[in-house]
Amino acid sequence: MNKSYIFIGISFVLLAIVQFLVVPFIQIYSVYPKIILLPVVYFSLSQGQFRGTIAGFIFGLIYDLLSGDIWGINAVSLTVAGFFAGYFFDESVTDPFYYFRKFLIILFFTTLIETLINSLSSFEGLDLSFIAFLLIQSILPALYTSFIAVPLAFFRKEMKIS
Amino acid sequence: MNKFLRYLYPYKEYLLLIFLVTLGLFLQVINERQGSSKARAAAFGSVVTAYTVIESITGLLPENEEIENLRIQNARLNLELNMLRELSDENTSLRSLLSLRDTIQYPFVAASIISKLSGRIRGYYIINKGEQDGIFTGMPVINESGLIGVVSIVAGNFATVRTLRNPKLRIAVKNQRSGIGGILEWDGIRLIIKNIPTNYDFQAGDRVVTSEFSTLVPPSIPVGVAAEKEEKISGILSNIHVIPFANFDKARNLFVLKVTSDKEAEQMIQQAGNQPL
Repeated sequence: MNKSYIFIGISFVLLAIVQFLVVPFIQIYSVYPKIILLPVVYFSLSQGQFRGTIAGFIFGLIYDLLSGDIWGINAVSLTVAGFFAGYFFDESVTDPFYYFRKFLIILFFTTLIETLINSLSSFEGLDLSFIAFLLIQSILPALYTSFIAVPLAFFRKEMKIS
Repeated sequence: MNKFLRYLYPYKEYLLLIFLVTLGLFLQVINERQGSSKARAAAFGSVVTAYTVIESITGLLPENEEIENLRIQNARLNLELNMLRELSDENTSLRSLLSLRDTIQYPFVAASIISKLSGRIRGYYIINKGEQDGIFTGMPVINESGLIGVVSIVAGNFATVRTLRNPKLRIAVKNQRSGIGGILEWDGIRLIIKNIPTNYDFQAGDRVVTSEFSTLVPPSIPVGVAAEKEEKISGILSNIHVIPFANFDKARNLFVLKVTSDKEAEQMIQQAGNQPL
């Protein structure tokens, strides 16, 4: 099996545990980062849209099992996240962290879409306007996730021409 | 056939997306079925059991009987203090006092929060006590300040708690001073009691507690304080904003009250609802 698959898989399980056990305690006014999106976005950017979509589904399903959340809810949102991030796949870029600002922007918009889809099922019955819902549930977590991802810039590798 | 597949090939990503999203949605639909609920609880239980192994190795959250007993004692004293404060405030309304049931007599189970699946929209906690500790679905959960929520899924040693910050949880509450009741719910930003007639005696600063009409939780558990009365456009009805006593962001230790919802009362209400007038 490709080593990078194993690496991404292990990273996901570790980050899922951190998301599940640690992240709830670093939330700021109920806004928390969605760090499980990091391996999904990384995988999609390094392996392409097709594989990224499949990885999103598998990772989402694993996270549903881990977290006790409704089965399928994270599977759907992470599938869409993998698909979206895969749009920006560039075969000539061997390390998605190389253009780090681009990575952060893709991560921000992927988180925005993922968190929105993830929480849409709860929107019914709320008295919130859609703008307020978008801000609270998507924009702020997306900003927080991008902020948390900044230290990953130190893991940039030298670019290989492929 | 080959030609057809060749035609579809450029759209394979989209077809895959549609297939996987449909599969995910199907999983969500079957989620609430009896069998899948059990499977969910079993899967959740096994995963969180693995967590206890990690926890015991790392020793991040040391547990011992003495600490647990002290926590229970602390919660009892706090509830007693709440009750005494209420009695002091409300000593003129003896009638309502007579109807109070003694909340502090309910047996407690002390629990710690393992994880919070709580954004502003979906509020759940996962606690480290479950079926083996005598916890069942529907049991109310409090902390030293007030009501937190009710137990929603139970596994062997763990349970999920649906908090007041979950729009699916609605609790019958009342104004402790005037006795006016309503249904408390989470609107995504605030806790509100909807559609209270504007001329009813409900003022900012009034304490809100669980009502005798609640079939989910026992009466007189402190919930929060009325912060603001917002008149609706018609002017006839108002929404009351409630600030909860419990701090949901900082909560770590909880107590499950070992009382289950009044199923007979729920059945009676359902039957009454089904009967023609």
